[in-house]
Amino acid sequence: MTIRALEKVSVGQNGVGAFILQCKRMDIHYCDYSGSSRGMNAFIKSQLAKFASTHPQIEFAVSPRPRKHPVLTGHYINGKHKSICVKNMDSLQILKKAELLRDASGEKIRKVNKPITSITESVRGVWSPYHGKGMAV
Amino acid sequence: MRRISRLRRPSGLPVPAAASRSSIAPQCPQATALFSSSSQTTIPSSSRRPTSTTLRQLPTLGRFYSSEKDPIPQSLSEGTTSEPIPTADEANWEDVPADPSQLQQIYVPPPKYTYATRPDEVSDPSYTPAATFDGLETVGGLGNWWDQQHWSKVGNFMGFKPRTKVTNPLLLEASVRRAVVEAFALRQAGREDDLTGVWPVGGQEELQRTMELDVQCAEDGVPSINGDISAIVDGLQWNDEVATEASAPPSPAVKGSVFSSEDILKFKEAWTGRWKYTSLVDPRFRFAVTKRIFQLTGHLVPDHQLSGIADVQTLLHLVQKPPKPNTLTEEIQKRRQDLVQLPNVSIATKRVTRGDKEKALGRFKLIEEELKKRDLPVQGHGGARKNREMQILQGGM
Repeated sequence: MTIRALEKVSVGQNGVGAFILQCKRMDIHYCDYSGSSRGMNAFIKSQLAKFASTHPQIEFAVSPRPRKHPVLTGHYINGKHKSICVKNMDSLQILKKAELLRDASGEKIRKVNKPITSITESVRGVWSPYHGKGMAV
Repeated sequence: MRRISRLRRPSGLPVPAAASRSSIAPQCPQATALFSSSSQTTIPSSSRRPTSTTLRQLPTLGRFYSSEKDPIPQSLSEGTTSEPIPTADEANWEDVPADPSQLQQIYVPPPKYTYATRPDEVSDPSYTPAATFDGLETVGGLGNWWDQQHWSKVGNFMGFKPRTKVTNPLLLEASVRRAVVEAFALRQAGREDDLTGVWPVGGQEELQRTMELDVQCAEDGVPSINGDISAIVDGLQWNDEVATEASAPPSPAVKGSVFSSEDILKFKEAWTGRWKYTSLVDPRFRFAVTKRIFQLTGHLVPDHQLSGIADVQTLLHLVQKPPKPNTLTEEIQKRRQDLVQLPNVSIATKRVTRGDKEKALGRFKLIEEELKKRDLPVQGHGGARKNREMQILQGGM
């Protein structure tokens, strides 16, 4: 009996079977005294509890960073991280930035200039000059 | 506040004003003589050894400062400290000598500097200067003079504001009520001038007297007191004898029986809420009340809020307001327990450093071992200068 490899039925995609949020941790830095952190302090006091309770899969680490602007940093399961300076923003603007970090994949931002991208192989295959019957010229 | 501090009659020493004022001038040159060798030096000409150190007496006492705690009213000390607070009783006003010449004995100045004769001026022909330090007698110097207390407790500074702030809301309410009752009693007795003066702090008796009185308030905010106010008015008369009595050491029985919150609650049941509507529109009356509250509890109403105080209720609200938390973490710990209790939220009280991150990972033990192996400091940089490596690379030391 010959050994045959298992044929791949489908390509795994996040969200097809299960969805795993790519953001695993969010660092929240603020300053107690600076005016640029006023919105961030309000965000921590008023919005963070609700946001954190709706996203139990993300770890939130709140820590002061004296004499610095407030920063939100998202850490992703691909090992990358993304930081956003939220100085002088109000709490609702910061909430938007937190949602942006939550939704990000952690991948580098690339320019998308093709209308359609697909992970399915082409049925026709890639053209090769060494295969086929050739073409009489 | 400069304006408030002018009221402070209990501070410093109750010496005659002329005596205390004249003490400033003679004290200054002596202070300079202690630390400079140029002034007031007397070089003995007959012997090469310094003369024995003599203690100089200051003509009068200056102003002394002490780290001792100054009083909050004895009746209010329940909410703040368990120990009886060292009050003016320790200052022992009774011992204050009225005569300035007696005050000279209280303060012992440091020994006077004396100077050895210069080697070339020594008259003794058999004298040879020492070549080494060994075997020489040590003379002069302050030694441990600063470690000993060379002044009497009489000179201890007593501020108008108590050292400890009263934070118990019930005690604060009792103090506000006491201030209102006392100010109104003075006004009723026709002693308008005393409203802006300084009143003795008093003790438990005074507080009890004011708490027992029934205060009513008319529609226009004018209070009326049902009861005998003569004792209260008499207790507000400031003189040195009264101050001495008030600051005398309390008897052990009194020491143990300060007002607790429960006691005040019992009195509070008898109070009607109307007293809180007492009008404080009159700035003189308002100043008397706020000044008294500052003296009794340590709560100073800021100037910008004074104009907004129309009645006692507003004032009480201001005084009883809990202090603002200093940091965001303090505030979260106090008021946002829902955030603290979330399992996926961690809140650090201090900045998270690189070392903290290594410790969280468990990598710091390895780093510590390696640092010890190389005889390098585990914490800090070991006093290494900045850019030392760069200096060494460039051929520097």
